[in-house]
Amino acid sequence: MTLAILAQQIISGLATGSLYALAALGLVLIFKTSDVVNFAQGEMAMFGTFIAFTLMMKGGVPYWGAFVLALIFAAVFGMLIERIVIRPLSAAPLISVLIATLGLLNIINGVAGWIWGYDPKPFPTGLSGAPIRVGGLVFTLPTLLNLAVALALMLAFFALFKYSLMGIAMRAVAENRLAARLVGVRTNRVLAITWGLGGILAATAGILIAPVTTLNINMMAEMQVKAFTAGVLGGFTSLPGAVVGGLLLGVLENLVGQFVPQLKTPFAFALIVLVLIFRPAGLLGTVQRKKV
Amino acid sequence: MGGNTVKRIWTTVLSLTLVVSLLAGCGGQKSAEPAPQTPAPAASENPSPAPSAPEPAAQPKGDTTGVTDTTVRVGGFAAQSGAVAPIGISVREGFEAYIRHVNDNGGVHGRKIEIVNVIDEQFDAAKGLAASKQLVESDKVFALAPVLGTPGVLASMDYWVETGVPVVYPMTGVEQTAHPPKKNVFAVQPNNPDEAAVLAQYVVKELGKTRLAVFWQNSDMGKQGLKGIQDHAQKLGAQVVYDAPHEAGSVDFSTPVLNAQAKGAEAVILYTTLGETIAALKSMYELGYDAVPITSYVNADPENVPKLAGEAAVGLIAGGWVPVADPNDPDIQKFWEIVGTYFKDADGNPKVPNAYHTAGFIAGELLVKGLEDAGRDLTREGFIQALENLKDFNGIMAKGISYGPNERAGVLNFYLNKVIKDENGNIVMVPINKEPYRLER
Repeated sequence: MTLAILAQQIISGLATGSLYALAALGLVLIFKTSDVVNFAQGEMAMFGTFIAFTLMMKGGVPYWGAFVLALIFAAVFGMLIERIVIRPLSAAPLISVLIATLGLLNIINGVAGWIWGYDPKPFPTGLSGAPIRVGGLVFTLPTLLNLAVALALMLAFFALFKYSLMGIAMRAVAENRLAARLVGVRTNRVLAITWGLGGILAATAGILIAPVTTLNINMMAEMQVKAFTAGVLGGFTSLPGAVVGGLLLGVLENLVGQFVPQLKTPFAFALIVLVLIFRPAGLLGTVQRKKV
Repeated sequence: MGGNTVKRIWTTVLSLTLVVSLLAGCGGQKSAEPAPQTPAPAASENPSPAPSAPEPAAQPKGDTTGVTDTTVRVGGFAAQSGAVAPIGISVREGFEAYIRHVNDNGGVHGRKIEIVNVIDEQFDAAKGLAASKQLVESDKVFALAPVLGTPGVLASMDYWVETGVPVVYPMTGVEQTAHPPKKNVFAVQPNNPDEAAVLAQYVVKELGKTRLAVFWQNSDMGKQGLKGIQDHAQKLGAQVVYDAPHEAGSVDFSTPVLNAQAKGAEAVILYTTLGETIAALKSMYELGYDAVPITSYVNADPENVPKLAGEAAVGLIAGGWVPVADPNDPDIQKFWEIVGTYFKDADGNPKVPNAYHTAGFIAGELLVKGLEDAGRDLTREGFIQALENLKDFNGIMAKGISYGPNERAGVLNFYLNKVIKDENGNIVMVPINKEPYRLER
């Protein structure tokens, strides 16, 4: 392997990794606040992307307009899911909520197939144009956009959690829901907003991922597994961790693929197991103590 | 494990049944077979799943399961729900349309073909095998058609061979349908290694590219494709300089593209399904790799390939085993008319068939051809012999189907397509050859 190939592998790894990072952000956000691993996150992304697609193709809405409208839809969709499915289960054991999100995964997937069919559809990119070449290295514009969006969202949400009142309320709800309510935090509202934001992150990820995977109801199947891995790797409670985990996974996968292509996917799973054994909090996560 | 267990149980049941029939003596044991005109199969060569006691017939007449004076029963499986449903539904409609057309024109030798069941096996191996058993043992069909999907076909193969039920066109590209040949299984679409060999032959002999790279899906399809190319490359004087597997659904092909480029491959053979093909083409395009991409008929999709890959698709060569539909061709018009007569779209207009309708339709044509050639005295043995005798059978959509005593591959003719940019700047997939391109073994 020459140095040029190595460098390009890393660039391509970052490109794929930024998609993992985008998909992981929403997962981590919802988990961080509500302890729920949302298995339906990928399907929410797919559904929001189909909304954007329909607006563009049927409604003639331009790309960025469709993007914004799809995000609004996704926010409402996320809040509805919280209200209809998650909140009624708030007293149920966590496992029930996990199973409910697994159910949602299949429901959203089936409904999307029913509405939009099973054929893959081309999805446009926000930026188009010739790839940028530096020396022998190639950077495509959508890749740069994805990286920029992933980093910007990471910073925005990091700031939100750290400095805004809402973010502090979210952290309070995450730490101790009962205590948060006792001091006047409207926990239900905080959770609804969290799911709304989770929906927005999902749709953003979907819209940026769809040009790569093509738009189809199963577009997130593989991405979601990688997003989980990215989350575990970075620390499931850390938004910067999700991004770092995603990028790192993308690069590591490419390097594994260079030598033993058959092990590219098993590698992701091996990584989950290894991280859980040796560094359960992930690279940037904080140690979770057991809730009472 | 499941398959072997089933096989073992099955063998036991069979031998027990045979013993019972022998003990019961001539005509003593009434069989489970309801049709009185169904004589017992000759147990030695064709162990039927529920063999009736051997009757003291004057001469062995052969297996007439599913045949009456006025009907012949057939059935198959094809996903009607789930992700593969769009394919399965089209296959069933294409098959049904041709059979109904034949029935409405008097049937075959005075018999109407009765499609008893097209079971929704949801592209699942276990359900496919269960469907085969139901059709053979309780629906008691004469032959199986249409049969769609690699999982169900592979899971059923041993069972088909044991029961001897004629299988008309198992729809999958895996080589097990034709290699080694099975007496009662008649493949139609080319199998992966044969097709991969043709693709290699084309790039080497017609395009003069001798350094080949293969990107193959880590599945039966990909492995068999790679094997076909490797086996054939040396004979062609070519060399596989790089090959790399990937998982189904992969979206990042930068690793194999960079490596193939570094190894100086002049052509890249993509043994991939649609999504990966698109991703690989995009990677090649973005990384400025100008080797000739060539791929399986699986991706000869004139609508989706240009639509999904755009500029990156230009230059792609895709195999094919039926000529691309030319609307002026009278055969195509006939095909559209027959499907449109029996199936309507959502607006009530005659349905315009797709490639999967074609596959179902061809299964219907081959079935009917076998029934015609087998004559009025229809037996499974006669039907199998009739199909075995087929040489270059051309129907409406069925083209160039041949079998022989030790040949079950069906079609070895290829029609290649290429993605180009036409004079209006549109990216389209057009046929390369009108006359079939053949594999030189």
